[in-house]
Amino acid sequence: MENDEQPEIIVKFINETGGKKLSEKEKRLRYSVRVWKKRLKRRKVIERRKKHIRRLLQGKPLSLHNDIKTRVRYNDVRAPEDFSFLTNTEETIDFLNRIESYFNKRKQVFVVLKNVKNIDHSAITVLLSLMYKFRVAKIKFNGDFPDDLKVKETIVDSQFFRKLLSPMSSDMGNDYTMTKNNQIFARANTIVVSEMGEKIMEESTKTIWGERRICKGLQKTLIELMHNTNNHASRSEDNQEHWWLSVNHDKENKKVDFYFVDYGQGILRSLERKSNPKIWNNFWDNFKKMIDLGSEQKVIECLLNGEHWSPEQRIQPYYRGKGLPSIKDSLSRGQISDLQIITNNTRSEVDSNNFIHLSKNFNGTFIHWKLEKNNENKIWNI
Amino acid sequence: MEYIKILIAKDFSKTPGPRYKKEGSFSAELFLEQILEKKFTDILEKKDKKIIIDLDGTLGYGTSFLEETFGGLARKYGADKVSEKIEVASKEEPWLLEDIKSYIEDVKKQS
Repeated sequence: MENDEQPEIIVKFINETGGKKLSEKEKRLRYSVRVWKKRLKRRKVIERRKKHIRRLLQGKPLSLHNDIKTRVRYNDVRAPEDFSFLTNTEETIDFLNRIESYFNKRKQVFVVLKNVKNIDHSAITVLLSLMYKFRVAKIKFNGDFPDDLKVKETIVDSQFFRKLLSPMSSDMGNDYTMTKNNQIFARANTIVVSEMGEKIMEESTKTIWGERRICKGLQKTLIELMHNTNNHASRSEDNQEHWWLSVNHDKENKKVDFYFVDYGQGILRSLERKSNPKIWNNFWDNFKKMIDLGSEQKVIECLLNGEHWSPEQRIQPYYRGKGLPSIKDSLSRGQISDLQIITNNTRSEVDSNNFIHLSKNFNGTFIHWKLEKNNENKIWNI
Repeated sequence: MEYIKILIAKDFSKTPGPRYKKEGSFSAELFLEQILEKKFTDILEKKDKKIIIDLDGTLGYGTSFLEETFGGLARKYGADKVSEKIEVASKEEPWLLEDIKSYIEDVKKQS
């Protein structure tokens, strides 16, 4: 056999040994060298880390030494100064993606909030949903508080830490708590908890109209979103993705903001996954052809308009895909306001029919809407 | 004509939920199983009886609940039978009547 026909590894072996076969002694020697090189490398890393810790400890009181030693094991991820999913979407996504990359490598994370100057519930809700994944996966995480007192107060009042650190139980769906500053977090597990809507509706409408009112669009929106998470968010077939809901009462301006998040795979990636021919008969490819796609933003627009489920096209079970259009209908009928959807690389301001391409990909679905005085409501008669 | 009335808010739940039982509480599957299907099969062969379903009095419906209730029944017993034997009423959300009609029509187109 000619030299150039042989695999590279064999050629290398022949060159190194001069064509001779290695003796057992030589093999053992080479193996030992490899092991020692590895050990040496590891020892250097440990030494470097120790040196780094020694430097950090220099001049610090003894009482802080343990804390500092623990802190070094975490990977710092700094939050943007304007920490908001709505007003600073791309930077916030970038921050969350960095945290998620550590999650994927099962590395510990220290969330640095120190420099945050502005925060809102959109960011807190998404951060909560992501950090909860660390907790479920038993990966350690930690963080600091913002220097800005107002920002710190917003986080504390949101009950972020209480929710994040409370015992995990299977009946999280019934958990609905009102805090002293009228800001609440509700968290549920993977299923549709329609009865939760009653309590949320009671409290929200009291904030807006001073009494209990029925807002059917609110209940519809909640059910559709929980249903979507249950059916489509999970990357596996077990439908085990959590949804998170944050409700923010603004008594002064008589309005209530809702933030719904699932840290699943996002609407667009979910469609791609379903392009598996066994499951959805090449749904994604057919869909792209069908609407002559210019962009993924167009896909979201079509989904909201319910243009993908016509029975004639037979691209998915004909009775599916009505959730997003019905949420849009609720908006059109004035039952909810200011509907915004951020998923994968698309931000949709549905009110104004504005679909924006994002340079960063958000691996999940974030939805914001508002309930305010001019929204449709009915007397509480149930 | 004799009408058998079902008021979802009173007879089933004021917070109807998802499509299937595995997806959450007060599902359409449960509603069909516990209430509607039994009543529907009872009157199926009786010419002088109909069911009227009143949708009012709840907090609101997800599309899946309504589709599985009416579309699901039509898939099992035929769209014509469902249109013939069931009437739907809603003063609070009249547009739901059109939606339900389209769910049953879709089943008809599929079969």
